[in-house]
Amino acid sequence: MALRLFNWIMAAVMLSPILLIIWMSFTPGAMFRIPLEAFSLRWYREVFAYPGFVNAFFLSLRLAAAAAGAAVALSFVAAYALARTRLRGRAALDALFTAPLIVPAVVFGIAMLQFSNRLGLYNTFFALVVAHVAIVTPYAVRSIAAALRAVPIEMEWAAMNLGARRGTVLLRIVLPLCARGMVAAFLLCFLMSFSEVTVTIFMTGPGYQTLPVRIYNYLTDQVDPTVAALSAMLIGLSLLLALIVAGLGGFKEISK
Amino acid sequence: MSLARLGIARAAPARRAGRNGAGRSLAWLVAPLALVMLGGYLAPLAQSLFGSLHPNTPAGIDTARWTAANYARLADPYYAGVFLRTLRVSLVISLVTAVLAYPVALYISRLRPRAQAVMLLVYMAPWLVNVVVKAFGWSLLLRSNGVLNEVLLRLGLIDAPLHIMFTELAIIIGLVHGHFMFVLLPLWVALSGLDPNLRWAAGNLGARPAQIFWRVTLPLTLPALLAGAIINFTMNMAAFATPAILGGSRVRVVSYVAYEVNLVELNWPFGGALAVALLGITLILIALAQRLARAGGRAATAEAA
Amino acid sequence: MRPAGIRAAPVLELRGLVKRYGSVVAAAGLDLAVGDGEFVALLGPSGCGKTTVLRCIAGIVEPEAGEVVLAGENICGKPIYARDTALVFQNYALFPHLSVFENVAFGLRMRRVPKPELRARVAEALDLVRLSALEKRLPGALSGGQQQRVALARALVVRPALLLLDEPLSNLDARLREEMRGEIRRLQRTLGVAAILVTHDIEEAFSVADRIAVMREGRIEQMGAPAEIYGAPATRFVADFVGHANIFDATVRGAAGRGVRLGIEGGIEIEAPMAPGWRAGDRAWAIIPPERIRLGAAALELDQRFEAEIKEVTYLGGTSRIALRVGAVPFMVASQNAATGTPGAGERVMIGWERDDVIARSAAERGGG
Repeated sequence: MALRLFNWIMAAVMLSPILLIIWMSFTPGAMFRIPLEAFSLRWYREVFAYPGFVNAFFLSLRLAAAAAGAAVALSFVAAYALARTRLRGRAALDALFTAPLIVPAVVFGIAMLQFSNRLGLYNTFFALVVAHVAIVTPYAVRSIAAALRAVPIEMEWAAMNLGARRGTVLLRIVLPLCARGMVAAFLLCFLMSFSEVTVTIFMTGPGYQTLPVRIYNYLTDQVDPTVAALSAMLIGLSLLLALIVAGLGGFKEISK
Repeated sequence: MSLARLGIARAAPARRAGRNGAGRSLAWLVAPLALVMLGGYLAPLAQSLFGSLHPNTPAGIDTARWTAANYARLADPYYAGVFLRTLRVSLVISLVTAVLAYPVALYISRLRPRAQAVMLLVYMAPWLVNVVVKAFGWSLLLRSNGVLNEVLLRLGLIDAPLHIMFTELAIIIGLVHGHFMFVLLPLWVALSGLDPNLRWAAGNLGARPAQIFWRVTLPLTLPALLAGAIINFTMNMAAFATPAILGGSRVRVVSYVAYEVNLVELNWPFGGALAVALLGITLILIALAQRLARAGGRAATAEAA
Repeated sequence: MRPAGIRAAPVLELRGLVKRYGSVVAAAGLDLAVGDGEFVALLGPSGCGKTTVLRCIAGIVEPEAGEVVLAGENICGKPIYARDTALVFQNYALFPHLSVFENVAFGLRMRRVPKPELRARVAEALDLVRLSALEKRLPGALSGGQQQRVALARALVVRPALLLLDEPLSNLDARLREEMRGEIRRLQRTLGVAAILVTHDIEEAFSVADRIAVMREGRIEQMGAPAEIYGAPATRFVADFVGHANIFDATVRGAAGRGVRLGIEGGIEIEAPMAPGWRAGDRAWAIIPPERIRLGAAALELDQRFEAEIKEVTYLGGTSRIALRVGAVPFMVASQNAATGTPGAGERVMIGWERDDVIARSAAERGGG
């Protein structure tokens, strides 16, 4: 009984900042006040009127799509090779692909700041994509490897026995059979890339910022309920993507 | 059987063995990802490690000379103080999270499977929400004229607003919330993996529920708790956005200072040294956590056997 | 009636096939030939290497040594997709995301068969396995037997030089298995395709195959027509594996007319047909098939007779299985259940058999290997 009460209090605490933002985003005034009588969509309109947010949103969108797409494609072939061969350097490759889960993002951010500057790639889309591919690769490799484990090797033998070459087997048998896992992996990577702040903050100057970085800078500067409205929309987007991923069974491997 | 035949077999077919089934011909498929990770992940990290061994001069980084001065500077009272504060705050966060997460994990592990999934999703929600957005939410709650103070004032529990924002307490609250899942999940896995027979057996032998908890459940899940707490600790050490928004320049933590050194002072060799130090602490602690998790696995199987 | 040997050039010939997995020998210099239109069963216990042999032929596994000659060409090193074999898997390995039609059409699409011909051939194949009505279904919506037939159609539609069947019936229940045996035999005969069936099920091998190769530890222990394998097992392993009861260790005592006297371990002496080269004192083993043993009055006219004590009677419907003892030697007898009833445990009865029904082999002959 006590456990149950405690659990509900903790759950409420977990959700309180999130729910508070959503509630407050409907305030009609210019101050952060919990609206009790009057609700307004004023600040939602403000979000779209501010080009800094809109541009950052589209940058984030392009970045997340490119990074997730590249990571999923590369991870698919890599995970397939790891699943179907007995490579000697396997443990080292596993460590390389999952290192971003262990190495703190600040550390990688600092490294990327210095590295991209040295190569003249600071503040470029290309450098951002490479960094984000690295950041989301652990999630892609893990969830795709899990999806591949569900494809029996006999299925591939059967296809080859009927005359299919390796490429055909991959495209017409393996890919369709783990399509759900691939979609889940893509969405998860998209979500991770779209929400990434720490590394990105080190890699972008003013004028070229992803949405979370823009919000971060906005918060340290002026604060008005526009941020609340924008945040509420981001929360909605995150939860929507997360629910789709969960529906596709994409969290099972990640939580292990 | 013909041994001669086996002998011949050994000599000839090394090249064609396993060409179709589990051959090496597929191995090159790992190359694209491996190259991206080597060039886009490992190379930058290695580069800042080497960069941290060069002196920083007004004219730029002197790559001709090698020095350990950047690491010696970490012992400077200011930076040592920042490290100590970060360690202290991270430790408090881990302890608080462990104490709060255990009862929650215990409760969730005893629910029906469907309810378990729903509850876990509730606790996962903060992880899914953008870290900047989460910190913003807490700043709305904790600021002087924020929701918490308003409620407490109205209820007459306090006379003057509490100053929580831009203190260590704000960082602690924000990160207990933000990193809760990383203690909760391993605990939940350990608790749901416990053989219920153990508890029943203990009860059957006359142990009261409290005794069962202290003598059976807690010892068996302690390794998972410790492992989760250590992972949580490393994440607290490295957190950037949450302490930056909730603590800011008044409560500087390592990552915040690293940001200033790299992007304001533009002293990259020293910034690299800060990064390497942070990485070193993290790696040591994670190795420790993995050892504990393995020891826990062994203990659990020994207990079950 | 098919010839026991191979007349013309065989469709498939394995020469000195060797494949090991660590210390486990799956093929130890194995030779095998399959004639045109012939149905050969590879029979053996699990782990004897029979599936590996099949995989070597299909190209899933490459042998370490030896040759796989298909239609006159050594196909070792040839990739799996370029080999003219069609494999039916134990778990069928149907593509779950493709309809029955597309599953069957897969091999033809890979061979770039023009559309009209493809449609006709798939339709013909589905007709052959009586699944035309289900061509739009996904495999998951089919019963086990139907999935099995799709797998067969998918393999046969490409008109392979050799059909390979890897324990195709082991996932079916007993009744369906019997029905599918007949079906596989009918299809193979109709199409005249050479086939190799891998199985550990003796009945399956006996009922389907023209010839059976009994495998043990990567070698073929005996190869022959089903009647030969059962009626004249070459080794004790084969005798055991094909289900013989009443197998006894024995010692040759001496000649007795046209036969030979064998001392059975446990104390009794029986007669067996003479084998060339036997001398007194040789170690041997002998089988007295349970279905050849007569009980009671029927035993009186037979040349080998013993008094036995009934230990246990197991009623099996049409027959009973009776466990007896002659002195210390245990016997098993299969007896037709007559209206008069069978004797009960504890009774003493006469049992008997003809000398020529006894199968006796030297223990040294092709023994352990």
